[in-house]
Amino acid sequence: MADENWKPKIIAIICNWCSYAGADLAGGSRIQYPPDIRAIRVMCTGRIDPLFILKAFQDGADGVLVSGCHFGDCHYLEGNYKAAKRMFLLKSVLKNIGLEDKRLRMTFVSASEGAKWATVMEDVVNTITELGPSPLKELAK
Amino acid sequence: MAEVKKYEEPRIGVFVCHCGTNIAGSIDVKAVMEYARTLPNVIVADDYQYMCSTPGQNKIAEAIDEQKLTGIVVAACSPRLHEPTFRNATKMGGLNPFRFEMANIREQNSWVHMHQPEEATEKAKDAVRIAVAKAALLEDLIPKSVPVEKAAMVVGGGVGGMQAALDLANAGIKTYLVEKTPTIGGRMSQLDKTFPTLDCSQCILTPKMVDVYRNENIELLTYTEVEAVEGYIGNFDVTLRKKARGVLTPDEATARGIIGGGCTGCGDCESVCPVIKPNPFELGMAPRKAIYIYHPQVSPLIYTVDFDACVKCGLCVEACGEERKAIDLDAKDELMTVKVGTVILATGYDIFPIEKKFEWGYKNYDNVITSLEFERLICASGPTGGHLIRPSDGVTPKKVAFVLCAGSRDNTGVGKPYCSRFCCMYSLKHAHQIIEKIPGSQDGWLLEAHPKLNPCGTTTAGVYLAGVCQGPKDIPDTVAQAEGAASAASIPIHKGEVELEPYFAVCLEDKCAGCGLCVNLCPYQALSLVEKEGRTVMQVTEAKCKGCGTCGGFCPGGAIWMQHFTTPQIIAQIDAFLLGGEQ
Repeated sequence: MADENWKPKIIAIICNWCSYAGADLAGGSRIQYPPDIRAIRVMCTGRIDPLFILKAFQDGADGVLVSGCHFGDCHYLEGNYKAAKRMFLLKSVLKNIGLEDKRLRMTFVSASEGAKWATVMEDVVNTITELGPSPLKELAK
Repeated sequence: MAEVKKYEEPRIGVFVCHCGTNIAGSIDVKAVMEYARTLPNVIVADDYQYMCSTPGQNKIAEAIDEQKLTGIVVAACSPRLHEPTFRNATKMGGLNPFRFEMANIREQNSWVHMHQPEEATEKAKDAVRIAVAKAALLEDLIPKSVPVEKAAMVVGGGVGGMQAALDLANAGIKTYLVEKTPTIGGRMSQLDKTFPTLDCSQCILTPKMVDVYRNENIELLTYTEVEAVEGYIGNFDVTLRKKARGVLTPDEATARGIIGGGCTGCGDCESVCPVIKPNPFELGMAPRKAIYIYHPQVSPLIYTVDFDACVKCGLCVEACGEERKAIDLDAKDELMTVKVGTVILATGYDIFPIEKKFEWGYKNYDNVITSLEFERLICASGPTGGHLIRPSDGVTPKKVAFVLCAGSRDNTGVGKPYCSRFCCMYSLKHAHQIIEKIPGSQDGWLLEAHPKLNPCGTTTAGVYLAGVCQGPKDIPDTVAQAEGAASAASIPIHKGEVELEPYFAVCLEDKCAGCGLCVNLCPYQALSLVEKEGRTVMQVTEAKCKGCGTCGGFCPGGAIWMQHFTTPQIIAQIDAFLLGGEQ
C-alpha cells in the first residue's frame, strides 16, 4: 500500500541530560544513522504528558520515540520511572484504539552512549518502516 | 507570573550557521535560510560562517534592534554547547535571553548524515520550523539567584585530588577531601619511579601529602565514602560514610575525654596482632596484619582495623595501653552530612584484570607479572626491598620481555578499545630500571562537558573532573587537569551566587482543581496544597522546584505551566513538524 518513496515521520521527545547528550555524542563521534527522526528536547521525560504523544499520532506521526536516562540515573531522581509507567499505560491505550503499540517506543540512552543512540535510531526507523504509514494519517488531513 | 502572557504579534529572526564546513559540508545552508523566510512570523533570516563569533553574535543583536524582533532562532550546533552564547547575544540586542531557541543541525544532523545531503537539508528545514514554532511562544523569564556555600569537596585523594584540594584551599576555600582508603596518596604511592625523569615517586608525592594534611583549609576525611549527593550548584548536601576505623585519632580521643590519647602510629598493636592476610598495597606479594597502616608513608599516620579479618582477640587493645586507649574494636560506621558549593571528582581508575587476556598467561605462569606488581618488586620499600626477582624461584632474571598495550587498544570485546596513554613511556621507564637492577646488563569514564571548551566541567553544574576518572592520563596531565578543575570549582564560590535557570512550575490557579496528584509526584517536595479565596489550589515553592516537569506531565487539568517547556510550546513544536510542512 505504501509507495516506494514513502519515508516514515517519526518524532522523538528526549530528555536534556541523558538522551539528548547521547545524541550529541553520536554526532561528536560522527556515527552515521538514518535521518528520519526529528527530536524535541525536554528537561526530563517526566515532563511528557501522554497528551503530547496522542497529539503526535493525531497529527499523523508514524512513530513516537521517548528516550530518557537509565533507571537510577535520572537527573531529577525518578522522572524516567514516572514516564515509563505512563508510556506503558499509553501503549495499552494505543492498542485499544487499534494502533500498533510498537509505534510508541521508550528507550534509555545515557550521555555516554552515542553508539547506542545511533542503534536506537536505526532500530526505530526499521520498525516503523516495516509497520508502514500510520492508519491515522488519513484522519490528520 | 501565573497568567499566560499575551505578547504583540511574534516577530522572529532566524540565523543559520555554516560552522565552516561542519554544517555547510552536508547541509545546503542557503536553502535552509531561504526556507526560513517562508515560515510564519519570520521577519528576517540570515546565514553566517560562524554564528558564535563576535560578528555572528552582532548580527543577532543588530537584527533585534532594527527589526523589533520578539524571538530568535539560531540553527547551529547543540544547545548544550552554545545556548548560553546566543542567549547572551539575544540579551545584547535588548531582548530577554529566554526568548531564544536553538535548532541543532550539527551534532544531530550534519555530523550524523554526512553522506545524505538532501535528507540532511530537509531535516534542517524541519528543525528550523519546529524551533520557529516554539520561538513564537517564548516568554520573558527571570533566572533566580541563589547564594553559594563557601566550601568545596574533592572526591579522591590521589595526586589529582590532592592538587585540586591544595589549590582550592590556597585560594581561601574550605575544602573537604574525601578518600575511601585509609590514606591519601592514591595509585602514585605504589609506583617506584616516575617517567620521564625517574624521580622517586614517594619523594615527590609525600611532601604534597604533608601539605594537604597540614593545610588549615583542608578537612581530610580518609576511610570515608560518598553515600549520597543532593542539591545543585552552590548548595550540595553530601552524605558521607565514615567507615569504622577502629582506631581513634588524637583529636577523637580528646573528644572522648582520653586526654593525651589516640593513635601515634607507633605500631605496638601491629606487632602483637596474630592475624595475617595478603597486603593489597603490595598486590598480595607481602603479608599484612588485621591492624595496619596502608604503607609506611601514610598520611594521616593512623592505624586502621580490618574488621573483615579481625578476630577481636583484644591483644592490640592491651598493647596500645590505658594511656593512649586508641583502639575501639566496637567502632561502627558513622554518617555525616556536609554542605558544599562545588564538587570535584578525582576518583581515579582500576587496573584491568589482565588474566582475562588469557594469551598472556597471567596467573597461569608465575613469572608473568603486571606492571604494578613490577613497581612493587623494584621499590626499595616493597616486599623484596627493591631486589628484582623471578616469582617462581626468587632468582634475579637475566632477560625480561615487555608486553605493551596488554588489554588496551583491543576491539575483541575482552580488553579496552582505548590507549592507556602511559604504557609506552612507562615500559621504557621499566626497561631503564631493569638495566639498573640487573648486574652486567577504560571504561566507565566520567564525561566532561566539552573536550575542548569545558574539559574540567560536567553537565551537572558545580561538578568538575580531575585525573583518570575522566579518561586515561599520566601524572603531569592529571595534575594539570586538577589545577584546572580547582580553578573552575572556585569560580562560583568566589562569585558568591549562581543563577538557576528559571524552568519552574507555575500553577494556573483558575484551572487547578486542587486534586493534589502532583504533590505526591514531585521528587523535591516543592508542591503543596493551600487554601486561596475559599478554594484549594496547588502552590509551588520556587526554591525547591528543579524544573523537571514531572508534575506538568501529569496534571489532568492542564493547570501546571512549565516555564520554557509549556504545553502550548511543545504542542506547537509537534504540530510544526507533523502539520507545518504541508501548510
